[in-house]
Amino acid sequence: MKILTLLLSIILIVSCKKDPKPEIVNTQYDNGILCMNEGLFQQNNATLSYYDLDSNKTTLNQFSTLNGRGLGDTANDMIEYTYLGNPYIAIAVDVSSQIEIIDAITLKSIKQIPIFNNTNAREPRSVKYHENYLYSINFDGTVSKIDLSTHTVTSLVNCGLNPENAELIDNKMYVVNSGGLNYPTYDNTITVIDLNSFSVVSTIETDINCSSIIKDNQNELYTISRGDYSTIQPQLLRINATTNITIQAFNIDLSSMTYYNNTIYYYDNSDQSIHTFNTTSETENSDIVIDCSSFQTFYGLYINELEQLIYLVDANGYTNSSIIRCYTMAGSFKYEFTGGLNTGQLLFK
Amino acid sequence: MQLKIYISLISCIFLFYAKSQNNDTLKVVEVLSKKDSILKLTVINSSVPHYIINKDKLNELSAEDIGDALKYIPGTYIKDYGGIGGVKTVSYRSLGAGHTNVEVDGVILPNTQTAVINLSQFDVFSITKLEMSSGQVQNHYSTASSYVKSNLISIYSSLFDLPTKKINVKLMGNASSINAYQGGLFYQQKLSKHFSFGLQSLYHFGSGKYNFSLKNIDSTYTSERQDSKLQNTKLKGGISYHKKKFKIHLNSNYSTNQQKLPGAVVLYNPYNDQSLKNKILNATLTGQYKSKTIAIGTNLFIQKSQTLYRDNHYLNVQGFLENQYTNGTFGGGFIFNKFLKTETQKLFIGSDFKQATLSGDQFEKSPVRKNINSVIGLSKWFWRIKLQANLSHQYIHDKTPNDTKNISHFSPFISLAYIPFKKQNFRIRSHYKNTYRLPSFNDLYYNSIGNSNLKAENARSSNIGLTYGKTIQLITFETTLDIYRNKIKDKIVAIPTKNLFNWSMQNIGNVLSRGIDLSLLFSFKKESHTLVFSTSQSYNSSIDVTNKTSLTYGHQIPYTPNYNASYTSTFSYKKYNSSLTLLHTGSRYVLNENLPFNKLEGFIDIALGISRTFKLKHQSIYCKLQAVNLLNTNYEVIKSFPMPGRYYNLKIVYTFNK
Repeated sequence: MKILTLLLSIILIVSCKKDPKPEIVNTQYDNGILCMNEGLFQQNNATLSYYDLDSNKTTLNQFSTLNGRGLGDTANDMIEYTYLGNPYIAIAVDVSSQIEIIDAITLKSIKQIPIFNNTNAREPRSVKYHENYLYSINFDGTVSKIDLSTHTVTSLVNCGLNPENAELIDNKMYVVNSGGLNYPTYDNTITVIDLNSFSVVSTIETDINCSSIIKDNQNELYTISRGDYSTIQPQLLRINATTNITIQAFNIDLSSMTYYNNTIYYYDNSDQSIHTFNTTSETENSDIVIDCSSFQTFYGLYINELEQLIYLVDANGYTNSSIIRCYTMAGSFKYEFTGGLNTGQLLFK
Repeated sequence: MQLKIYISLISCIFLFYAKSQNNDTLKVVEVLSKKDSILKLTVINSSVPHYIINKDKLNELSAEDIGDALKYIPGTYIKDYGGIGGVKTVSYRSLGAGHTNVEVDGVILPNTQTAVINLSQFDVFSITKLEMSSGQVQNHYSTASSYVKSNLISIYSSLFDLPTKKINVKLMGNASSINAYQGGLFYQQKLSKHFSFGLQSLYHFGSGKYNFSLKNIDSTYTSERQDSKLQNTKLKGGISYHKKKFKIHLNSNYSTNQQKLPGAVVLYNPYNDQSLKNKILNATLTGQYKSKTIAIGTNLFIQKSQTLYRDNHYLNVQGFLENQYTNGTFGGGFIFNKFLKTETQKLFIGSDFKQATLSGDQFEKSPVRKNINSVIGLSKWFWRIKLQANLSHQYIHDKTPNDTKNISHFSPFISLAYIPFKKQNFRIRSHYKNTYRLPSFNDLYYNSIGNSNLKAENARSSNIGLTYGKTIQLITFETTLDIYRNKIKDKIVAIPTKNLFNWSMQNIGNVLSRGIDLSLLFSFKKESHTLVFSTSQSYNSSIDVTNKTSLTYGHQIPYTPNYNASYTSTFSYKKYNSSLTLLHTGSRYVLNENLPFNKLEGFIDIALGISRTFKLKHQSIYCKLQAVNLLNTNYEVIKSFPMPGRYYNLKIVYTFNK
């Protein structure tokens, strides 16, 4: 028995060995890049990481280190907004079904807003700010309006099936409905919501399974129809936001895009490269801006308009840390840094 | 090229045999594992890692199902999702569940849909013995299918045994403080000198609610594990005919299972509503014959199973997701053993045929699989060296409406064991085996994810070990020490291709695992006192060697602790028995990348049990009170699936034999 006791105590001592404490946290988030890392489904590992441009160092898990708790499960969107003169960040945490509001300077949590329909998670996919309200675009086919003075959901409208994203033009919100969970019957609509009355004013018919949506400076919207991943190919759709008519469809196998200066920068799956599309002449440029064939898993494209830099995310097979690579607008590589798992949004600070 | 090597190997086996016929083999006494070995686990006179957990040992371990029991075997890692009805799968020396076969009374009822066996479906009620072996099968009756995978778990049920008394009744009741209850009935009767029949039923139910705490960085998330409600009924009936050398057993099983699935614990979202319903009906016919010169094992089986999964929180138009599958299998096989002077030396040959069908709403094309497994081999002593070798072959022919697919693989196995000292129970053993995990129906045909171009997953395992046993008066000491190396190539894994919505099964990933398994046993027996202490220690390094430029090259693969150990100590005095067991699982990573953030802390689970047997004429009552997770540790085996804290079990078994 003595041997047993001895063995037991040895094991207990050995097993109590702890990992070193996490790295020291920044106190200033004013010159760097804040990354929202989606994490993986049912792993509760959505995180925020920060790349400091002064020290050229990444610090991981900023949210949890600062707030003493995890961000949650599967973060899908992150925006910065100013309310009553103060900067804030809102994060849509999908599987946890929360809108997390944090202080944009300290990254400390201000409020966690649950987005539920009784016991059913609505699953916020993306979040928008418009005139003192936040709008949570929910995967259950709804948009929740959040009053920032009380941080509560004040009203709700129904949109289409499994909306993924939205764009704002003036006081109208254009919600793209993918219908992804209704495979093989995808949705093919964009819901137009008037934000003053917070009601649906019209529904635009487009093509199936639309995911992202952006606007140019000519009152036109561009959305990616992802097809059905087998016979129906992805397309870039151009929509007139005044007439609500799909004007044109371009056969481009694209999966990520962003708008800057009369140009859409997008990732083309067919040649694994970044290309441009001119929104004035409505033509694609066949020139490769950045060749991404060395990426393991292309996962996102962002432009820092102020610095005029392109940032590309490699999610490394979705289960390893992402790498974020920085390029000039002309496409020459500048530097790279590490993010967390599936870096899905960047904020330039 | 490989085929040639195998053919020459086979020729060698027969050459050896022919030659040895003339030589007088040294008489090495090889004792087959005794039926009532005192709570032993390791079989020390085996050429391959071989473990037996008998009925008494099962009672002493805190085991509700065979998944729990296997945790005490060195080299195993049980992926346990926790709670009642929670899935448990085995990984042995980093070879996943697809590399381990499970046979019940010599028959393998295959899971062609996923190739992964959930061990929690095999409860320990009315089991006489549980065995696990790696390499070559260590019994005479398992047919060819048991040889084709790397590892084999064998379950022996009481119903299959010849009753010693005319009437045998067993009633079992078990209540657990995590709101789980079991009631079991076993009845076996001798009808005549040769005929007997038996029935057994087991009812498992409860809400399965328990409190848990999950670490959420600096805070702790404490809640109640809900939605685990379970209702499970198992019925089993059998008729046996026994005559000295001959045994025929007809057996049928029916089980129905209805359960809520608690799902992963998601931070800030406690709601979940998923359920699973299963129905399984099967029948097996087994025949065994053994004389002084030969042994034959045969079986026939048929099985139909239905699975219905439903998620009531699914965000589609219907508001729920429902998937239904129907799986049908039938087949049969035989094995023929020719003994060479003693039972431990033999030549054997056998073959199995199976046909499996699967239909379900996630399968556009219902596949039909024909499967033929064959084996030929030998066990033979040459002086003090024991040679065991076999060559097995797997062949599958899949047919879907517009496609056919054939996969065929030879698997060689060779083992050499050496006993250096005539009078010492000391043995040096070694083996090599190359096996293939064939892609399952899900891997090949599951909607959009399945990839019909998959190859088989290839595993090469080798082992070198020592075994030693010594009894000095009242004290017995036994030990085994094995060093192994497994190389896994073309792992079948699901990875996203193109984008996160397009997952597909691919042959990606090579793993190199190297490890040490140690088992030790001390036992002391004096009159009415027995003290047994045993431990198993495993060290395992299993690293990703897929791609040198990858972030995870050289990293320990997920859910594979570097260190694992179990300790059991049992003290019996007359009709009292106490057991203390401890399981120690080292820290693991939940993802491929070995970052601190991906680490799941190690844990210790201690269980203490006290039992007493009350004996009356023809009757006995066994009572056991057990405290599980004595330290009330909060731990997860699988991330986001917290295990219960401390809980108690009370088990009462009444037996009547006359």
